[in-house]
Amino acid sequence: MSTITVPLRQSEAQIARRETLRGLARSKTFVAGAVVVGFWVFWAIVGSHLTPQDPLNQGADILVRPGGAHWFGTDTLGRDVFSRVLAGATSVMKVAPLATLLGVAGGTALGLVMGYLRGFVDDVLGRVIDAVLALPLIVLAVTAIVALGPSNGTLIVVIGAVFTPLVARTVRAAVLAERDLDYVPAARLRGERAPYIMFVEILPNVMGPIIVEATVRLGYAIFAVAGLTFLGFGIQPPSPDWSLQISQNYSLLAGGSYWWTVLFPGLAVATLVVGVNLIADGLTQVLER
Amino acid sequence: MDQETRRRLEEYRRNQAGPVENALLDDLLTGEVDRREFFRRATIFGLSTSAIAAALAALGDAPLAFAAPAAVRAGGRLRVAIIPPPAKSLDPHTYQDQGGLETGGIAGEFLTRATPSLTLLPELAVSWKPNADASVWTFKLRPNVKFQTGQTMTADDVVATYLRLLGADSAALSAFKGVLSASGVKKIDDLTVQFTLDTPTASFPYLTSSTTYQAIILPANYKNGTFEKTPQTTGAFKLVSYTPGVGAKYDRYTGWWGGSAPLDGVDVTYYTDDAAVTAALLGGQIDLIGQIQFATGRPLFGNSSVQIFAARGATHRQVPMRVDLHNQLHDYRVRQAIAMTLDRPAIVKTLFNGRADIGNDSPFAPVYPSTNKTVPQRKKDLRTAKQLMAAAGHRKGFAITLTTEQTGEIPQLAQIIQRSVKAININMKLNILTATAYFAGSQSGGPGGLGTTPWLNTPMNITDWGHRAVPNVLLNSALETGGVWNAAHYANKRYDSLVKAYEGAIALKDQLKYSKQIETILLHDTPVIFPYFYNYLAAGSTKVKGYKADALGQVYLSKTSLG
Amino acid sequence: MGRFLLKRLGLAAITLVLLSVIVFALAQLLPGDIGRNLDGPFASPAQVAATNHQLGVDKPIVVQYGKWIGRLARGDLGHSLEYQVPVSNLLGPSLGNSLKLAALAFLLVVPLSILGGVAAALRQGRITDRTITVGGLSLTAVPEFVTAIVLIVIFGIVFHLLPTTAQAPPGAGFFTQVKHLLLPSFALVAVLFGYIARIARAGVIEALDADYTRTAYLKGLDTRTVIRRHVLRNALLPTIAVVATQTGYLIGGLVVIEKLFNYPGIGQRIYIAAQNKDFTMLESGVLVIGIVYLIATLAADTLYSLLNPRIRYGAAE
Repeated sequence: MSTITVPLRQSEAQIARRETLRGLARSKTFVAGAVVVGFWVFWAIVGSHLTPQDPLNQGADILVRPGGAHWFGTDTLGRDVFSRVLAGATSVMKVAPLATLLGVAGGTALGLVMGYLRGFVDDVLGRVIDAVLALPLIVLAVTAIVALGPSNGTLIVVIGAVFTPLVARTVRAAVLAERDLDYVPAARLRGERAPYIMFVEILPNVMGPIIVEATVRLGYAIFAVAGLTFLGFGIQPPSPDWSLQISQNYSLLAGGSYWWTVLFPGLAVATLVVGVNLIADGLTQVLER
Repeated sequence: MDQETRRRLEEYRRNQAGPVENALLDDLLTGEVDRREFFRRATIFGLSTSAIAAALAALGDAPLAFAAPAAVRAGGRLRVAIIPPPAKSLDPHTYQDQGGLETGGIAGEFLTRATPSLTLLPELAVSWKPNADASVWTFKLRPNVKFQTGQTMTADDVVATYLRLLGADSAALSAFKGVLSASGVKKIDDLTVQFTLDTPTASFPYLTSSTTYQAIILPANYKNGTFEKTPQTTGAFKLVSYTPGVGAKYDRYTGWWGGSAPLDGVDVTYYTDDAAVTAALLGGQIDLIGQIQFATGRPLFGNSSVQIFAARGATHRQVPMRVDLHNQLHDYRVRQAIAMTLDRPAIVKTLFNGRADIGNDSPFAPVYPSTNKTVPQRKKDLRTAKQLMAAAGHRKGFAITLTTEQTGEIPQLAQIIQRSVKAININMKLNILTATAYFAGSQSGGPGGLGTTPWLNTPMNITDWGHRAVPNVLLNSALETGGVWNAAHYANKRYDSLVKAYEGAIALKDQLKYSKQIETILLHDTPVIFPYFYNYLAAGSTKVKGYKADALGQVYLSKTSLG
Repeated sequence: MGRFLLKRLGLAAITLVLLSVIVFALAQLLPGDIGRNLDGPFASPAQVAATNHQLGVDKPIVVQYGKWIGRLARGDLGHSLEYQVPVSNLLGPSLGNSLKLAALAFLLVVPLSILGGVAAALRQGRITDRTITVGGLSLTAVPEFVTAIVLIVIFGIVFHLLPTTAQAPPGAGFFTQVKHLLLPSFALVAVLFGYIARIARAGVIEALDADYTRTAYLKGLDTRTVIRRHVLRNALLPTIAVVATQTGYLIGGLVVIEKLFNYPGIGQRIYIAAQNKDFTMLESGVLVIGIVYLIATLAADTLYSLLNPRIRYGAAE
């Protein structure tokens, strides 16, 4: 019996995957999002090597309006804003995806355990999660970053830690729906142990919601990095990180002056988050149809 | 000069003037000090107005006329923004930040008041005199001054205030250390107080002025913790309500000795964010901002509905480089080279649009008269810098971390320094902490003797220092061997003895002699870079009249009016 | 119903205890001490030690925690280490301010988002839907401090239409207070609209597809009645859940908005307390936010189960 089913199952999976990819390629939202994100990923990798000017090069022409040699103008130290916006993708791309990965990995493990085992374990972990969720992000962030020092690593850990309970909730809900399906009791009858059932049997079947959740979380991760950097807790100067640029320059905005130092980095953040959300939307449409 | 004036002057010099005053008059008549500097020192030494007038007339000047203020419109409440809010309770002897000193300074008064040009005006004291070597100072108090509680101010209140200032929990201890102790404060009679100093100090009156912002005169029976509950100062406004972190209200005090302030009252709102306060002024929510930074308040400059108040002062940043670690900074040539990579005029233009004086790597700010300006100004010189690095064996450069705080324009200065030292192959990493983290930790003990706190122990950092009327505290605590704030861990015996000599020198000529030597030593050793001394800035709407910025940040509103 | 509530309350209490322990432990990780913060960098170590002793922070952690819990049991939120006044004096008004802002923001965003979600769902795939979805998404994607700054500049400074500070002068009437809160509310609406409208839209689409809707149409009911009676409830359900989860953010997480509009809300208080190591303020503040959050979640869950008959009569979770 089993020898016949295995090859069938494999090609079924292959067919399903091809269908998914084709569906994604057809989805306008997914493609649009992928283009935007791809653009920023390119610049994140390439960084300051291909920018028209060195993003760190200070000059005497401070706060020059956009135009001429400086398409996006210059900032308070005479640096070219256009180059800084392009090079600014690197720092976010270093932190946000890793933070999301950490949060999703932790949340998935936690959600699988809670959703499958239920009972006492679920109750206790659920309460701890509620407690952590009730904690204002800012308190957690201040403590961690001030105690561990402002660095990329600290940001990743903090954001990942905050995301874990949120992802756990979603995964738990998905697992609850799965655990009563036939294959789970079948596996138990076969004598499989709990970790095997959770990670080998159930996990592949909840990948859909996890992937969607991951992309949504990525958008929030970018947001969180932006907010924490804005408050002074993240990436250090003179990095051309977008949120750092915004936080250093927003006081110049009053009266509409020097708007280019804030608008362009702001647009960069916005387009990246929109791109990620579009990808998430596209994935939802295709994976959950 | 007419007969009468000459006679008065001679009589003064013979009978009243002590050696200090006569030395100053000699300096004026021989041209050692110019007219402006004479006037400044004369106010410090407490020369009477008529003596000053007579002395200046002796030089052929017109007698001084102290103009009466122009007619002002009375009424209205001024809305003031103070940033940041005061921490802890409002006991004046504990003030240690801008929020506290501004909040207290609206209602409180001092024995003397420092003007923007560093002269001293009488406030609660009407006159003051030193003895022959400036080791004993006698202050005569203003009669009939009433506290807002109804009591009349006497010498007992002043003595009690100063004893509190010299107590263990006073935030002003560092200013008085080595100069005055509790045993030296004595009441002579109801309106006379005498200060016997530990060391002769020619600049002592500054310690009784608004520059020592903890020195607000309070009643002798003042109880800690009651400042915000009951109005009990002598100033033109009484503090009637205070909510920590939110705001404060003051009403006009009709019993003020100076008459009646034009404003009905003052409404203070506390802000924590520079952009919010800028927006509030531009949007018409407030009339006056106690302090603005050029870096964050740029939109206010050049705006026709805003007036900028500026006072030249000695607020500055120090960039200490630890001389005692076993790293590349140990060699004085490396420190000199780093200092030579900085284009100071450009830095001042970029960060302050010119509203700052260039520093020459010593605490002697250009605004101090005792600064010896014949010492050559350090300039950007990459060629010499590279030679120095090569001579020290570091032609290939090295890596170093600069630690500092997130305050004002300091992050930008850090980025400029980082960029500048690249020219001599130094790879500088920045570590910018919150102010709380930067000043956290212990300040004594440990391997370096200065504890663990970042600002006193990192190899290279930038710290913000406030304005001081004279450089004494900086020369001592920041650079003397074993100084409590000696972040560079600098130890030079010759420097120490020169500083002692400088502080004891009374005549300007002698001070200049010592300052020249001090400045030269510091230029050679460069334990600390002093890049600039910037102007104190405040901003208000065009409706605000009769307001002057103070180099320290005191918000003095007794003569201010709206329109 | 009663048993459901009781169980939830019990769980909430456990969560709060856990929360307080977590915050206390976290606060220990902060560098520096309150004494140094109060006395400033130029105070002598002896002074700082004296201040710390006077504030009682040099005692062991467990003792401090015990004292705080003891006071809490008596209803006393403690004494702020930084300002040296009772914490409730400062937290009360701050919480009130945050609640006012949150209330106005909710009042604006919930009807707007539901309307938007319903409109988008009804015209699914067409221009209206695209605009609302993509527009909402873009607004949500812009960090709230950027939106806030843009709003301040346009409405407050360039056109002088609205005040740039969210705190009305003391004694101001209801409408003045609302006027001051409009700009920050708009910033919050921008952040939340896209998300809530999306959820509402998804709920409406699901409802429109459902059997009971088709039945209603077949019964001869017109669109508006169908929407009102059946579809709206389905759109409301997930919306309520979402709104409840946002409460925590709206009450305690608005540090940036409060900073920009100089609004003395509870987010600011906690942020400053965390920065200055004011234990009592931090602990009590976080606990208060936690309580508000748990009340909101409880209310939402209750509302949810009231509206969803499937849950009301079952014991399933």
